Amino acid sequence: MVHEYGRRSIPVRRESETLPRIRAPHAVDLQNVSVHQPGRPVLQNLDFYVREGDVLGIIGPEGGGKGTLLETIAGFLSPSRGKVHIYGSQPNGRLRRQLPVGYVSPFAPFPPDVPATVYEAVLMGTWGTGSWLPWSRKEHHLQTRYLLSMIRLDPLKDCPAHRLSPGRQQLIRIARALVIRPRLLLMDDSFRMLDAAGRSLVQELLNDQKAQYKLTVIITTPEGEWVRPVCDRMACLDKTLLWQTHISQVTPEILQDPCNHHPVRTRNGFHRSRKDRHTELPRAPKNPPPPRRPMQFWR
Amino acid sequence: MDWFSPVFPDFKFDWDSAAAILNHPFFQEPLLGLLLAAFSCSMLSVFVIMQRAVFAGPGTGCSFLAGLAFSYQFIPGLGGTEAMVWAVAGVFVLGMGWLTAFLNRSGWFTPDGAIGIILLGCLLLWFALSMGQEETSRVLIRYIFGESLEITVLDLGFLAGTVLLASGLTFFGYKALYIFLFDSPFAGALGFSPSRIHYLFFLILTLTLFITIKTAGIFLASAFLVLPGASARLMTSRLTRMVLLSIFLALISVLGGLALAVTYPVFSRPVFIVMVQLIFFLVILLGSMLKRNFSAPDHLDVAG
Repeated sequence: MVHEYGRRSIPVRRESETLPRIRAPHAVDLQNVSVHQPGRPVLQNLDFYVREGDVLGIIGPEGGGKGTLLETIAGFLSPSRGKVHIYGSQPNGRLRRQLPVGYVSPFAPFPPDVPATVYEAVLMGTWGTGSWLPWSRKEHHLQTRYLLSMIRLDPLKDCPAHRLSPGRQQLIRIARALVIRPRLLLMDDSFRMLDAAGRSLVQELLNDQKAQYKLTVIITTPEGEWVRPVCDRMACLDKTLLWQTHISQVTPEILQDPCNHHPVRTRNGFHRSRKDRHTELPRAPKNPPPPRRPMQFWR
Repeated sequence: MDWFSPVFPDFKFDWDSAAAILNHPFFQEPLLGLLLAAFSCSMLSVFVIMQRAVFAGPGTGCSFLAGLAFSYQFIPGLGGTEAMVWAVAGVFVLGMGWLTAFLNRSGWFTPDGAIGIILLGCLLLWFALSMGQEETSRVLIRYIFGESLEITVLDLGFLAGTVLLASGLTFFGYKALYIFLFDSPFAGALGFSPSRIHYLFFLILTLTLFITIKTAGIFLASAFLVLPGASARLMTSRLTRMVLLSIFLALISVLGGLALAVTYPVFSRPVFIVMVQLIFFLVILLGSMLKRNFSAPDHLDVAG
């Protein structure tokens, strides 16, 4: 960057270049992020952060951009505007390996053509961090066995993974994402195939992992009731962030119709500034006064 | 060789004549070539079965014929040597392999669908270029069954290269390839590049097939690229065991075919294919018994 001062051109250093890099205090930080797909906006003006160690549940209608948001945070998609930071760095494949970041994709059955036992399917989660050699380290095997026992699938560890029920396959996916002990876990609609017992198993698993280390989790789901027991905070997304609040503020009425019941009403539907994003504001009146008519000077 | 007797009652292996043949250098090189071709193709066959690209052999065979017909049509006229003819054919076949991978990766076609499209185009190109060219046609038709007895030391070197390539892919690319085939989005989440793995696999497969077809022929390369892996898939649910079993079955087929070819006055190359087929159908017959060990225990409710 060069500024002209008379005849001499003096190089001006940016503030960020002169100051030492400060580690961001938040696990995930989105600054005015918009994502566009050909012909339509998917996400608009997202501006929020997730504190380290929090479990954030994102609810909202189908097609509201929840999956796109997680893919943007993971670095699979690039935002068309704004910035995404995970622990102060922009997300990419290298960062996902280094942190590491766990990602549970929406349910798709395991392919029957590719043979993998339940044990191998969970162990695969460690392969991104290890070496190119075809065997895994001892601690990875130990962690795999531990997680299999946590999700009660250790008796079936030698069974082909594709032969298990969809709910159990989803449990394997969640265990596979946790086997590397990720600092950030992104779960995209991961509770859909789980029954009540499976959901309580996942809750138990997440609580166990959170007790061991600082795990930050972002869960998206269309049904808020499923993820409510595991969440610290909850947010509603419908192309833009409608609200975000502490889980204690989220009532069953809000979960039934999250887009129309705002626990926190912000100006223009967005947080007013980065400073007061967690400020609980009074609910807007149901029948606002009609807009004032403009003055007519010619009378 | 008594294990042959239930299948072939009249079979009596002549050790002396076999030893005499094997001692002859004229026969040692083709046998070694066949073993190397069987080794590399059977190692890749496991991944071909999992990728559902079972027509990769015939597809590459057609592009091989079309590429060679193209080269013979134009390169000698431009003053090119035999090596240049093969180089141009190789580039053509690799290009077709890349195009197949692209059609599949773009999501428009399944692997076999993409191979079918390329196969048809190359077949038509081969016919068009060979029409009225008797000499070229005679040369090209040899590669359908292969000219094993004409294997040179250079060919053996190339085949050894394919063995190294396939082994390197299987050993160092084991995790990447396995997780890519099992769950491609998760491979991306772990930091692997699914596109790179996909294109690399198809290019290595095409290169291996190109060299194998030159020495062993299209039929033999196609058979070794599918049947050992398919047989191994029926026998086990572990990838490592599948790879080892596939190699073992392919080598057994070559040696068994050799034994039959020595004993009976038959055309040797189809015998190898018949042996691979025979093993495949034997595995199907014994399949229920072999798979029992790998299914879930009966007292556990696997499905839900």
